[in-house]
Amino acid sequence: MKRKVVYNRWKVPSEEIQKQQDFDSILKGLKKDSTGYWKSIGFWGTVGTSAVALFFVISQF
Amino acid sequence: MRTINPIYHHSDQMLNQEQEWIVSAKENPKYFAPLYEKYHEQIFRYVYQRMDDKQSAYDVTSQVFLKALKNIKKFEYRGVPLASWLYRIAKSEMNQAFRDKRAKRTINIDDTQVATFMEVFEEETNSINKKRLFNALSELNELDLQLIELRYFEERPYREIGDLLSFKENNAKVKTFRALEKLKKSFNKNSRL
Repeated sequence: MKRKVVYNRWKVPSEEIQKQQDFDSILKGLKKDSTGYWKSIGFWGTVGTSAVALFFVISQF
Repeated sequence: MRTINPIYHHSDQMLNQEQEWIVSAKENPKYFAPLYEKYHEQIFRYVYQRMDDKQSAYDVTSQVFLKALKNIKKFEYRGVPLASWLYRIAKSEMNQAFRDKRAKRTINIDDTQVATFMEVFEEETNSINKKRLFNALSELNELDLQLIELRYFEERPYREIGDLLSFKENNAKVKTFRALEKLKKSFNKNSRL
């Protein structure tokens, strides 16, 4: 991995970092992420495969 | 050199308070807010120390807290501050950003740190030696660089370094010593610059 060396970089003041705090957007991201799973291919793939497997198991009896 | 990092080392009272916040956050993510406020700046500084772009560092910091919130239910209290867990998430998120080329791995060094190394190497602080040091730092492997950064740039105690890099405290000390030796060797190799 190539690296860059930076000498005597200006230190970001605490006030500036605090202004960037946004807990609400983190919470929104969390909500979006958890609802997103229901729409994901992974979720429906699992559901679909399980349904097909269940169908074959039931049809054996 | 500072031997105790006050941000990482907590009194029992502070640990208990933090533990209460964690229990509440497990019930409802909105109660994670005091932990976010407490650790946002130090996680940002840890990330930005290793990156060249401020906005990318803010983005990675947000990712760290999002991931922490997603996994807070799995978090098990081991008697150390939550910071230890957050730093490990930050390390993994940063590596992902470097792999995806969303950020460039950067070594940030200042006058004081250069002077510390010159003292350790028993060399004079001048522009030639500075260049030799920068080259030597660039040539270190990632683990050795991390050890040097954590110990000599950020002045973290070995216990914390071990925690961050998943080593025992004593092992962290030995590995840091070896990393410094390698840096010195590389610095001396660049003597003809």
